[in-house]
Amino acid sequence: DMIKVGAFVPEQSTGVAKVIKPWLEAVQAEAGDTVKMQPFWGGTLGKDPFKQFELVQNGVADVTWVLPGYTAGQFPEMGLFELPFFFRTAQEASTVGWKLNEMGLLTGFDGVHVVGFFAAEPNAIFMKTTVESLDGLANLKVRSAGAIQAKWLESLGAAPQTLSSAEFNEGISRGTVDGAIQGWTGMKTFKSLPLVDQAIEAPAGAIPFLLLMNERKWEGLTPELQEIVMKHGGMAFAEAGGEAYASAGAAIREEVKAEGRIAIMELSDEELAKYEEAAKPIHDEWIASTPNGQAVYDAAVKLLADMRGES
Amino acid sequence: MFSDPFVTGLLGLAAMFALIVLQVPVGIAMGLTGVVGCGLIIGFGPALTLLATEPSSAMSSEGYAVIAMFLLMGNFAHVGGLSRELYKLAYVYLGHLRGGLVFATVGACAGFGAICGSSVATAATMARIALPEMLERGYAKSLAAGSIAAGGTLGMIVPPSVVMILYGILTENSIIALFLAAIVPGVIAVVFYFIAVFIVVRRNPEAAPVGEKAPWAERRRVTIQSWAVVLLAVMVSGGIYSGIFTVSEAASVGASVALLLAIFRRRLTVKNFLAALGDTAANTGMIFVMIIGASVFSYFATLSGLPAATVSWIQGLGLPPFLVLMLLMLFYLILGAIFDTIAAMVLTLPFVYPLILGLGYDPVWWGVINIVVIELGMITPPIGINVFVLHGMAKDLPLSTIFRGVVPFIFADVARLVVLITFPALSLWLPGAMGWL
Amino acid sequence: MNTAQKIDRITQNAAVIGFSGLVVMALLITWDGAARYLWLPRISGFSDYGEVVFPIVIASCFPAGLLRQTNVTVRVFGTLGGPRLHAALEAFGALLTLAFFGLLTWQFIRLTGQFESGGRTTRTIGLPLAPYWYVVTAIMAVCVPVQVYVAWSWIKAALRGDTPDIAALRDAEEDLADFEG
Ligand code: NA
Ligand code: NA
Repeated sequence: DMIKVGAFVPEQSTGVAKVIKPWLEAVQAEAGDTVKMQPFWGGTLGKDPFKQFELVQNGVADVTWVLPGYTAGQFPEMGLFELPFFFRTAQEASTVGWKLNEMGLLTGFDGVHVVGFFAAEPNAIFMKTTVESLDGLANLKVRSAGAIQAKWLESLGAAPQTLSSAEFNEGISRGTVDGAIQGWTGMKTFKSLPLVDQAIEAPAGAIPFLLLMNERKWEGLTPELQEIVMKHGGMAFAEAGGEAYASAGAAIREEVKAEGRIAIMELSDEELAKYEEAAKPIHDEWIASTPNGQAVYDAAVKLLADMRGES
Repeated sequence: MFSDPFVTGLLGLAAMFALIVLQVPVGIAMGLTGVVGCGLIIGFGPALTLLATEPSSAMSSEGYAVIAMFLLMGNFAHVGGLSRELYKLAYVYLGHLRGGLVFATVGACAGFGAICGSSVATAATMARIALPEMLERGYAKSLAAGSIAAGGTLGMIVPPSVVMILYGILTENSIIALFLAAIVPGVIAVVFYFIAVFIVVRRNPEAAPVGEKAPWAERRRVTIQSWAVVLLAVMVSGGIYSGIFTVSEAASVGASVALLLAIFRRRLTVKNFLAALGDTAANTGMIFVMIIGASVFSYFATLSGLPAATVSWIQGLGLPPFLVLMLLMLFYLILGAIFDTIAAMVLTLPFVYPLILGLGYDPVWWGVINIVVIELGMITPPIGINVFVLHGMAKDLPLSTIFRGVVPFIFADVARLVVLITFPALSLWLPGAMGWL
Repeated sequence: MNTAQKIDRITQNAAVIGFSGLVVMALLITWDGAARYLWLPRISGFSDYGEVVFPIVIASCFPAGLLRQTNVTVRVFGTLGGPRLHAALEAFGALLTLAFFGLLTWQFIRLTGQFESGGRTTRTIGLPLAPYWYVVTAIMAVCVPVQVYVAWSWIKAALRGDTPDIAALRDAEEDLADFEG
């Protein structure tokens, strides 16, 4: 039996190198000769980031790395992770995400089985056109990775544009966009750091990721193999993913700080509180517009409180 | 037999070429063998779904839409009379030489190339304007027709270029870098064509009469009259290279401004507006069918592992990279005998591109070389699309006459290819200097 | 006007209407680009409109291209052999083209169904994808009867050893390029 595992980004990117490839190798090592885990990194099994869900749903790939933000509308509850000022770390977002899935609160997985959920470290705002404060974003064109970030940007008076990271690079070097909401790791992976002059550390939502397996493929696996896949997937995967992005993000931030070229703007506690309060309508709007929004939101708040209480 | 994807890959490749020879459209042949081949490897259920995901991805991509925009711009520019003005402009400066109209034609082709993305469109446009005039003034039919057929290829080499956009998207190279890389080779192309014409009229003075020198007042008048075409070329190219526009914005601005010029000059009629849209639609459809077929086929190629195996096989032979390059040139000349530019490009890219990278060549440089060598096929017998276009428009010109007229330009093309391969800096210096490599 | 010309008029009109959409997009993109420099209001989530409009524009040219058979084809054998061989090869190519567009249409119906049931939207301003893709799928579906007509014309021609009406449409294509203002 062979399992074709695809990712549209290169092998060196954080998600592949630190999360998906270790999962693949762990499954291979434990399953031995009963399965061949065949990787297709760098988009060799489909380059278009926006088509990854269809590829796994239709069984062209057996497993792919899917960005829910690129499949707008399919996973309505995923908007939770995009909410500005909600999650503070990659670990929080990853763990809460997997637990919500276990509670059956995440939907939209037509024809696919969820192997794992993880999330990147919360985004920052990276600007080519430097600003004095978040209010300075008014009338600037800023890349968002999804609709909620777009709404938040609009509430600040900016003109959001949903672009893939590669499209963003062209846009910022052409001057068609002024900045982007993006994670530190994403900035590094897509070589966008040299293109910006400022980083504003507002926790502008985290980017959720899914590792999905074609449902038929999943059902065709032996129970033993299913167990191995999920032993390294699921909670273990969420923890590994959260840890990987948190440390990778922190390392890149340190590197950038040491280099000193990009000005890092940290928000004071009052400012954070002010913008968090100002972002509440975005939260409420998301809850109202999402069928199961209130239940998901409340569950996430509770899980977060537990996590934060423990630590 | 199909247990080995590699064997499936080889059989698929053979089946695709067999279908093409049996007059199945190139895009359809690629798409069908691609989907059957994928079906044998991953199962027909998943494979068939590629026929929706791949087209929908291409059809909603702004990058591919740019191709249609540039075709639209070229057609509106023609409606607005810009192609004729370019020809006049080239004529007042070059017409007094022996073979002056031929020089003017080549110059106008290069100029039109800067506002038109396609080789066939450039040849067809210039044939309508320059051919009757050259024949009327007693130019040799072969030289007149040959210069237009060859000049047409400048439409694809001088940026913007449809096939360059396609190469950029398919290989994920910067389109701006590719455009910049083609500028110096474009200038070299014009110079070499001029030299070819010069030698022909020198050896055979009856082939072309000497024209009258235009007085400076006339030159000034015509130059001022050509403001529109200069404006359009500067807006599009200048806009892209200076960073004012993205490529897709530049194409849209170009199409919009060309349309407004045609309206402003009262040249736009309902009839030619519809004809311009119809022609854009026909060419767009033709290109998209090939893009869709090629994207499905390249899935199959990847799954079969054939390209990777071919690359490691050739590398295992231990041939010097330069020799491999020469063999590739030969291969493309043979391919160009039969295939049109875009077909030859999309057919070979899944196999040749990894090979070129594996040999350590620069992908942007290869983009230029690949387009130049494939464009050569547009004017070589037995099937040279540009030659056929001319023959189609002037049925009294025998194919053999046009092919005879093209020969000096083929020599010029080969010389250019040698120069560009020997000195990669001619292609790479400009994009490098502007920070695009 | 023969049947081929009547169908040609319809498919040609469809292509021209579709490509008017391209002209509108060109003007809008120009506006949005200029707005950046003129401090005019920007169009929010602009690329979303392209994402749903471009597929309709592109699809609209397929029926016309099929009828006029403008798809790049290598006609080597057909020109060497007689008219009957030529027609037979054209019929073969036309039948495979029909199969291809039949499969495309089928899969487009599936994809649009997936968009519909998944509630898929564009990325920034959340335009629902399904309605637009129903239009695209409908245009693709029109390709099938058009191609049936093309294939049937060539099969008849191969049996009779003559040239069908649709062969003349391809020549019309070349004349059409002559539209200087
Ligand atoms: Na050009
Ligand atoms: Na040729």
